[in-house]
Amino acid sequence: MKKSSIFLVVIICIVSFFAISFWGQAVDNGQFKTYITSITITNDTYSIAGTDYILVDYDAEEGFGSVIVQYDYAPDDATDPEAVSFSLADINYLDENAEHDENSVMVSDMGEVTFLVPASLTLTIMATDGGGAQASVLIICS
Amino acid sequence: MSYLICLLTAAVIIALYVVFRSWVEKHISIVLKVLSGLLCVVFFIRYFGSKGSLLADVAAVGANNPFESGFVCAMASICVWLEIASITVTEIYPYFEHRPLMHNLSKTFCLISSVLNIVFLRWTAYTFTGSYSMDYVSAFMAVEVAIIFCMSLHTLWADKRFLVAKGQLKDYLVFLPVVLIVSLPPYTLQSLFGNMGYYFTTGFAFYHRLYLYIAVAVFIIMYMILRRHDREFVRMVLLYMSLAALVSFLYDYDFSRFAEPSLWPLHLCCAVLFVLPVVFMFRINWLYYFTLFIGVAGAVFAMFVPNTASELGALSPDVMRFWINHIAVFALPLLAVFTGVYERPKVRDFLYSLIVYAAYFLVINFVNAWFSALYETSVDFFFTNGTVIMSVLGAESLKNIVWTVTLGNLELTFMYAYQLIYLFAYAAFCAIWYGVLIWIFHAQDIYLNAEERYRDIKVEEYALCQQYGKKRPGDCMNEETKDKLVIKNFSKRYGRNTFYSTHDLDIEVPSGQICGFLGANGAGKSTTIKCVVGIQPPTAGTIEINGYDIAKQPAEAKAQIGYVPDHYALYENLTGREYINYVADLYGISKAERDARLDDLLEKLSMKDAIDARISSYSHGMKQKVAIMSALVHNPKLWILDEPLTGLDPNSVYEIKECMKDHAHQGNIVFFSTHLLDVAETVCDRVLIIKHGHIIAEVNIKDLKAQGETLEQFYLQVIEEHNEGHSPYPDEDGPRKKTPHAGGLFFNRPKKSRQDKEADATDAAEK
Amino acid sequence: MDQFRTLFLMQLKEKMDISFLKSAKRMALKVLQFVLEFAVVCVVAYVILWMCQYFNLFTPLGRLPVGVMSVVFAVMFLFSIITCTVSLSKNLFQSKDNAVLFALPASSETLFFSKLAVYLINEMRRTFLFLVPVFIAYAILASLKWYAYIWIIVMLAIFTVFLVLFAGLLSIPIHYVVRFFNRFTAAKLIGVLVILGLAVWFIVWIIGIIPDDVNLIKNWVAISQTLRNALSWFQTHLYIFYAFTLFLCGRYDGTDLIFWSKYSWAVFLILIGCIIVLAGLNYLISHYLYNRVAVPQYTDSGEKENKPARNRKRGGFASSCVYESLRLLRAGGVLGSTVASIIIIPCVTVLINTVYSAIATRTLGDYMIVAFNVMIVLLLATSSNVWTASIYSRDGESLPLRSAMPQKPFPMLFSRLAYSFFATILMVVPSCVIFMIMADMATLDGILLAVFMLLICFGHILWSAEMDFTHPRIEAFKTSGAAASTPSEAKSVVLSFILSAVALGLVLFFLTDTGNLPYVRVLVIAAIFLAYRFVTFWFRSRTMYGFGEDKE
Repeated sequence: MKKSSIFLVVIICIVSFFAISFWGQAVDNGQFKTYITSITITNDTYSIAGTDYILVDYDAEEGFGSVIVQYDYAPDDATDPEAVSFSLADINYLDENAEHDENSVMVSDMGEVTFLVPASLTLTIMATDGGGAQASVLIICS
Repeated sequence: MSYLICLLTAAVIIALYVVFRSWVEKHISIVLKVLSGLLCVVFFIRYFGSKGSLLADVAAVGANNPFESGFVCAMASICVWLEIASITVTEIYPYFEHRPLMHNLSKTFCLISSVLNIVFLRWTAYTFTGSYSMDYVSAFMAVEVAIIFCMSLHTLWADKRFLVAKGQLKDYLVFLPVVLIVSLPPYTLQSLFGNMGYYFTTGFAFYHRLYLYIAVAVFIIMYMILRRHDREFVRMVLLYMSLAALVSFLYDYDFSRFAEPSLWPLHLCCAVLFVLPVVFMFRINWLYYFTLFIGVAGAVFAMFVPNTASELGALSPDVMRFWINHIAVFALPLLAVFTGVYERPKVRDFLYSLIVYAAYFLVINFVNAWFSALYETSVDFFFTNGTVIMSVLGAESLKNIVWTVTLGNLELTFMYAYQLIYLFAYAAFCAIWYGVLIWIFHAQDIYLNAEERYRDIKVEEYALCQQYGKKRPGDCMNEETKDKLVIKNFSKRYGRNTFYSTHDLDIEVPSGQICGFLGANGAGKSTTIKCVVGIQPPTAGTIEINGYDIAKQPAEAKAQIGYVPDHYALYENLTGREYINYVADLYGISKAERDARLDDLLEKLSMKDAIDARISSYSHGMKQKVAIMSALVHNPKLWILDEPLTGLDPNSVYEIKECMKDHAHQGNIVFFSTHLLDVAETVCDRVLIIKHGHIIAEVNIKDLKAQGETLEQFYLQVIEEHNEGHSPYPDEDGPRKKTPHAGGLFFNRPKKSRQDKEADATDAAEK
Repeated sequence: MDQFRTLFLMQLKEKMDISFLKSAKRMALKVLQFVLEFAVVCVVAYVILWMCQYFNLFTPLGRLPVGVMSVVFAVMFLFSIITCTVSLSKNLFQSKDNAVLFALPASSETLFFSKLAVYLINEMRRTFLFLVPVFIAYAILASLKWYAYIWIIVMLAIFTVFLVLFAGLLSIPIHYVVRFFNRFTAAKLIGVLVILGLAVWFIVWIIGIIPDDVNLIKNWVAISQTLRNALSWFQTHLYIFYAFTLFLCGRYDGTDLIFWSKYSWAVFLILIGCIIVLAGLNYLISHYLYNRVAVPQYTDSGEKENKPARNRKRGGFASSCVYESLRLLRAGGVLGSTVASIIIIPCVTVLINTVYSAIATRTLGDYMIVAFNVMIVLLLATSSNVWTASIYSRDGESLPLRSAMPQKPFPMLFSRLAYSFFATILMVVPSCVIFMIMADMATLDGILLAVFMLLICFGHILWSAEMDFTHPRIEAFKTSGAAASTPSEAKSVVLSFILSAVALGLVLFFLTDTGNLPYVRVLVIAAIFLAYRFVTFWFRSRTMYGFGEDKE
């Protein structure tokens, strides 16, 4: 067998490993995934000192105010567009006299923020598909 | 009504023929041409006057059949088919009148088809007009049929017999199907059999592949059919095929269609289809090479990526037309070059065809831009003005790079980037195609070469059998040379040498004789021996061994020979016994026979102990002995040894000499070359002396001894005499002259040729 | 010195075709050919190195570490030292021309060095066609300064001198070992067994380290890490190669490339010192040993007891097949390479399929596995049959003798191939069985695939053999013996690659195609190919044989 043939066989073996890995590998869900790369909050906002915020009316009679945070994601063909989580931070209670506890301000899995007392807070939407995209918005309920 | 017109036309033609018989017969060729021209005109008007054929939309097996019955539909369809075939045949008939095939087609096929057409005229006309009432199309059809009928009748009249002559039957049977198949209108199959499934253009679906195979098969089958015919004949067939394909292609064209430029047949392959009949009719080289390089490449490309609509019926007219067009454009130019109608292209021809291509490309781009602007539709001939190819290649952004020029009140738009890329990419594709073509030519050469040699061998075998009145090539041919070695007028020249190694040798050795072959190194001894045993082919002359010719019956002649070469090139990795058995197997010696003979030889040559060792372990002498045993194991009629005694010990020399004598005593011939004069003297009955490829002397040893002369003295004397004033390159043409020499010895002094004398004179002058 | 020159030139003319020096046109062509070859190797090497860099295979820093080149260098060094030593021990000690050369009035060391010099020229050619272009490609990639190119070329040339001198020294003990093995068959047998055992152990070891789940994409980071670890292991444990490569290509200190330093001059001096020492040692050994060791030896096996055999009758064609095969079997070289192929091909199949089976594949992947198996097995099998492209020319002088026998050319030529056909079956079938088991293939499909591959191999054999008898090169084998390589062989190598690649394409195409019976279809195509080759072989053997070489 000629040396050139041996070299060729070695090269083809290596090429075959790569080719099969790239084109012939079984599609694993974690693998060829299209991640959410960006999230944009689409609710109407107001602006104060350059900061956008969502204003929620507080119904004093009912003792209740709520808003559903709506968002868009990109790209459109993201494999798992539902994989987002909502979290609240920087909660300030606007009415210092009102009683409040950790359940006074809540956010559901669907993105509905419920205020039992007037407050301002920062809501963060975070993609949990592994892409790590996130978006935050200030919400004021008064 | 149409029948009336038909009969009337026929009657007029026949009447004219009868009235002006003598004039017509004198000018028959012109008359036939005029008639065919008339037919052509009538056909042209009728074909484009009708709006295509009804048959394109119906099927005999289908429900929407407008005829009385499926049978009538089928018959009408077949008659239209036959008519188109017979029209095409009749049109080229006057130009190839001298061809028996055309005669036969005209008088049988055209006659039958025209009679059938007369019978079914009502329905065939209906397929074009859509009504049974009279109009000019049906009238013209009647005239056509009448002309065909009369012309074929004339052929029959001239030939005086209807049946095809026996010698021409094979051609007729081969070409009748060809004529029928290539004239098949695109709608006929569908009208006969319905759709037969669906045709997809993507993913190499079944029918796409089937048509591709058919394209290749058409080329191969037609090549096999045409390759044995002469070029003019092939040209005729190709002309017929190209015309028939063109007629098929135009099946749904009518005069109104010509008024619409976007429907003109200006796509490359369509244009080439129009060019092909011209090319085969008028032999225009540059145009032909354009079809070969540019057209065929385009057809190949189109066949792989067809641009017909997908999901049509597999036999639908559109699909059939596409394939008839492209198969014709693919196969006909190739057939022309492979059968030799046109010569194989040179690089120059390729370059010319590229120029023609560039011109076509320019014109077509202009036409595209112009028509697009003029008619405000996208005209996209050769796909240079649309996004079809761009989208296939995924480069649609190219369409945005445009150049706009105003011409009068028209704005012509050129997608120049795309078009330039297209121009060069297609030229590159054609260049690759040229490379493939060269490779195919090479393969064809190899095949033709081999075939030619094979035919030569067969012809020689046949000639040999004829010469000697024998039945099989394996028979002993020449009874006169039986039991003899006869070399006649034998010459050998190696490769491209300008000189002969041996020239014009005549040797005859009868059975029972030991003949020695003497001469200096390079005199031509080994060459002669190699040719006698069949290792080298003789350049001229014959060598016959026991009645078999070594060149023409090699296997049989070799079976008469036992050969001991000058160098013991034995198979070193076998044992002596294996080697001898191998040789014995090749000569077909029975086991009993080889046991007996080998035992005898082993005894004589004292090789018993060593015979089962590998030959590689043998000494020089042992190898020589094995060579001798293998040469004698089949008891050959002729035993040839090339310097057998060089470098052997005295014992071995003695043993081998005894073997030679024994073999000759058994009535066989021993012929050997040697440098050892004393050996030759003791063993030989006769000695030949060769110098510069010529026998310069032959001597009978007995006679020599009777004169009291030794071989050595004789040899030296001959060589010396020959050296004096004799050129080393004697006469090449004159017969060998035998000069009497003392008491029955013959000298053999070649006469000098004129060139030699001139050469001598020049030498002398130089000195 | 004059003696040395004469001897050197004499041998050079004999060993290499240097007739092109006489004609300017041919020389220009030769130079052009050299430049082209150089450029091709350079480009290929550049692409490979660039890809390593692009995929951050060895370092995340976006450049190619010198360590990689040191591995290339080490591998080439090992390869060269083995081939050099083996061919030098043949050239110096077992060459046929020794008998003539020793009769010449020259001292043994002149003779020794003249042979070494001839070999050096040969080796230099190889260096310039592989090692130099690879390093040049690296230099281009690392955008080294212009003088680095000259440095690399000159230093590699000097290194080649070192290599040849070192191999010359090594060849002497190797020659003794070879002689020892030749003298004691048992030792030879044990040696072969040990080598085979080592090879099998090596393959088993490799198979053992292949992980159960190979996923190049998922584990890319880990794979890359492993490669980097291996590289750093290599750099520390085989420092000598690393050091020399640093000397060639410059040392990277984190920000800048330092080309010439005290360090590189030290390496340079060491190299020159080594060359001087080696030359001295070579001189001493050649002076005292060479003429004693290199006296041509005649093997004499006449003392062996020969078993008396019996005559045996066979049919002409059968006899040709048997005896021609027997000849080839006993010819040594052919049998050895056949046995090696028969062992190696299944081993390679096991190896690649172990890797393949560790990749979790979808259907396309399964098809690709079949196709690559076909290609690799075919490539190995066909390239071990490349020698059939000189099968008749190899007969050299016995060919005329053979053609003086009353057998028609076709059976005579065809019977010679029986051995190859049989050996090919032994090469291909076990691999197919292994593949069938490992890939869990249906038995019928496996059989069809095996037959498919056999048909292609047979077609290749017929094609190669046909090239030989239509363009025989008997002269080449008369002078150079079994080492000669003919244009037909080169073509046959190319054919073997093309055929395997086409087979891969066919298998993949028909497997992914929607139609039924893919294996039957490829089989039909292979059968048509074989039939075509057989017909042309038959046809041309009847008409062309014996007309190829009309020389005295």
